Amino acid sequence: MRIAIIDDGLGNTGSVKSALEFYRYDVRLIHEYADIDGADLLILAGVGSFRTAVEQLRKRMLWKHLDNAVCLEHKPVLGICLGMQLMASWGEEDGHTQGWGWIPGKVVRIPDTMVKVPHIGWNRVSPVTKNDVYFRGIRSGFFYFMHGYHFIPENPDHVIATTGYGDMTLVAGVRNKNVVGLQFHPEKSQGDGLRILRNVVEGLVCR
Amino acid sequence: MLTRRIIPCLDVKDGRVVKGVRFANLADSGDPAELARRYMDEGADELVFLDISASHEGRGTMRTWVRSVADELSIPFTVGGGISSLSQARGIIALGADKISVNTAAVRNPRLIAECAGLLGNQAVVLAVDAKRNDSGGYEVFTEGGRTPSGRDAIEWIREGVRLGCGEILLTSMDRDGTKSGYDLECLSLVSRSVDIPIIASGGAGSVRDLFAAFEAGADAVLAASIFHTGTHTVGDVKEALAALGIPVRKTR
Repeated sequence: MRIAIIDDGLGNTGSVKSALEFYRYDVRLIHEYADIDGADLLILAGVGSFRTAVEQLRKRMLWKHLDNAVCLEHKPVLGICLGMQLMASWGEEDGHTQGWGWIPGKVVRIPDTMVKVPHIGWNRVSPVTKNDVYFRGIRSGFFYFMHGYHFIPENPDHVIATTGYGDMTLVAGVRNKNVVGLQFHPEKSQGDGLRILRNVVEGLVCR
Repeated sequence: MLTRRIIPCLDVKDGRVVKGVRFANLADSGDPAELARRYMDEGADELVFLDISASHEGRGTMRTWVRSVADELSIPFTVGGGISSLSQARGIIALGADKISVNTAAVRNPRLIAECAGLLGNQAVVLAVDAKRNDSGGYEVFTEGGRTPSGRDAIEWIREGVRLGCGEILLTSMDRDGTKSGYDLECLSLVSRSVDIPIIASGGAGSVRDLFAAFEAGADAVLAASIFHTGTHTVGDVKEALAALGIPVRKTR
């Protein structure tokens, strides 16, 4: 299986790569759209603000090509943290910016009336469906989050996992056919993170 | 429920971890990556590395050790010490660190905070503040590893840092650092009431009770060096004791 991680030249792409190599997948960091073709699975990782990320991907001509690969070719794609947020219709970070819209919904600031924002640290994640294959073998159920904005999908059926913060329930995972997003960082969540990463990769590619 | 974090801190000088290290059977007791691995296996929630190299050559080793630590860890880590430009911060994140912390350079040029947050996101920018109690009952910010008084009020500076976009505060009490007499709870609770972002308490941890008291005073995470390095406590023991006192922690065993 070949996995292509879209390299933004920043952030956690290296960690995601090492985590996947632990399971002996063929992983490549890609910089150009031509490299998307041979991949069985695409991964969007990276850090920064919603707007900066969209601008960067557009500038490098990757935006449209990724959109085509996911929507027309139905290539499986996993988004992590900001990568997941870009799958929404729009985000408000640094000004209203359009996302891919693969999972209809919006990305807005976590309200800080009752809790501290950003939401940083290890929080328990609960799958929406019991026996969700992505959560097979998970032990502690704690995953590492670091985000100030959260995804609110229009269709609640697209939510696959949640986490509690203060009296709020934040979306921790989303899925729409060949598109999966995780708000937390599996590559930084020790054993359970590696397990969920493998489950998602296998689940997406062997659909 | 979000758990409270336990963060061992390692000082790195010229690419080597300095200060007593207790682990037995280490192949290389000064290797940042090997120590990072030990702390992760013990249950540390994340790690902070502070580069205290005095020389340019010493700091030049960062490229190598930050990458080795990133390769070794599957928990997040922060790198701080001498970061004075956006390109330096960006370089460290690109090597695999999850967050950078800024201190002296941010006091000199507060725009650095906004620049880093704009490029890397707020969550990746930790503002480290060394605070020392003054005669008028407030706290003053010190820079250059606690050597130089800045004349700035700590609370005002922290509020400005939050406005500029930092995502966390690493608050070190200069009065308590190295004393093992407990965190400065008054300062901690003052800062915690002043801003709405997570606070990492640092300086003065000597016992599990001290960590407990810091959480009670409003800390979201606690940083500790000596109690872990000298072998007084393991991270796992500390977490079990805190859980027994009712603090939510991530258990790894």
